[in-house]
Amino acid sequence: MSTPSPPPPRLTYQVPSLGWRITVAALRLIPLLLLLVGLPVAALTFLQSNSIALPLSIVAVTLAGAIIVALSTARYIAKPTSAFGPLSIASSAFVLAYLYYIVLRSTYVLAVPGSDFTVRLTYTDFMLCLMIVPALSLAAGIVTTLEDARVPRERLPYDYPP
Amino acid sequence: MSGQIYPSSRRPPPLYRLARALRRASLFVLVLLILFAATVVYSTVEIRQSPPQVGSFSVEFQTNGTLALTSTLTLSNPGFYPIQAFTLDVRVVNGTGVFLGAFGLGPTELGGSASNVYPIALYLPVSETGPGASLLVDSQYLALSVWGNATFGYLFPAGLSIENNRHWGAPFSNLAYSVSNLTLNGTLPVTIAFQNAASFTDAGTLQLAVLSAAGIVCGGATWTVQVDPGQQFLETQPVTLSPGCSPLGGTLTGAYVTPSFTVPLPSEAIK
Repeated sequence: MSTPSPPPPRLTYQVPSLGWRITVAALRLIPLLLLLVGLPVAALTFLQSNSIALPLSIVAVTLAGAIIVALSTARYIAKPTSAFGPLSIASSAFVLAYLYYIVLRSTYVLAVPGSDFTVRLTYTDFMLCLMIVPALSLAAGIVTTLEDARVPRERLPYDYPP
Repeated sequence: MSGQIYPSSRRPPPLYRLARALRRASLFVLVLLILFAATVVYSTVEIRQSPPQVGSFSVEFQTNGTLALTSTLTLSNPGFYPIQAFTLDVRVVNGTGVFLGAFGLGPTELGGSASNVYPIALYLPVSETGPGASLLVDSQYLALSVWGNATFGYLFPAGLSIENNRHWGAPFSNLAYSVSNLTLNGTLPVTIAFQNAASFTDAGTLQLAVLSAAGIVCGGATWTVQVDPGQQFLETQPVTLSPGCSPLGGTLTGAYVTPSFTVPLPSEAIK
């Protein structure tokens, strides 16, 4: 007499409601906007008010920061859905493009007003290292997209345990 | 929304684990880079509080016919990271843009939490025919260009350039020879005048030769000088001329002589 095979494990999940996810995403907006828009714009405005030429345009920084925040928020809200992977890819790709835009302007020449001094600072290598971060996130987004395409909802018990 | 699925095991599936590992690696790299950037900024602030010190310059004649400007550069690096590939280049041109001399330092490395003293030596040739001859007799403004390059925190190359005009005080400023009428006993009174506008004392002898139009030495005289910075020198000596040697149309040539070197001074036609 053969013993019956054990029943397959049953994993449950509890996904927060859309309203709850939107509320949390809205709360996340505050620190994200401060970090990605407020802080860089304040730094650039400070430089400009001290007659120091800007390495990046304030409009570009504001726009890029707003797009990153919007994509990050959308990604958070869409996490339980199959849109999460593509949104992760879009978000990481945009951050990569933004960092590349900064890399192209990463030699900063500062002519000290009223003096004969000129200081030149290059942070290309650091920005290239920083590009590893969205590159890894982009890879994670691709893997998640593949996973969602192969077995939909497979990751939900691990992302939203009860 | 809630639900349940029946996976083959309780362990997260491989794709989920891979995505999670990539996200964690991304976060880890970000934290690492933020910490690194923070320590670099801290180290930079520390360096800014102990800026490079340039010692006082001393100027003296060298045996190889140059004027040497020597000093020291003290670099302190109280930060965590080394200052790598540090180079310093100095270039001097005179008021008309003629290159006079250059100085180069490095590439060298200064470790974290360390300081070092580097010698600075700028040699300006002052030969009679060279571009630096005017440094002996003309006080002037020299254009000084300084370039410094270094890499800090392994990833941050930085450069500094300074363009500056510095006043140069000539040791025989406004040097002038003048001759009076030839006396009956065959001597020629010659007067030398100059001001020592340099920062060092002119101490030695001034040797003067009276040459005929054909370049023959008709006679000479020697002055012992001890002229402190800022002092004027004005003395006349009779030069006994060789019989039959006429100074008319000739030249007066001088030299500044000390036990260790001889510096030729500009010639002047006898009028």
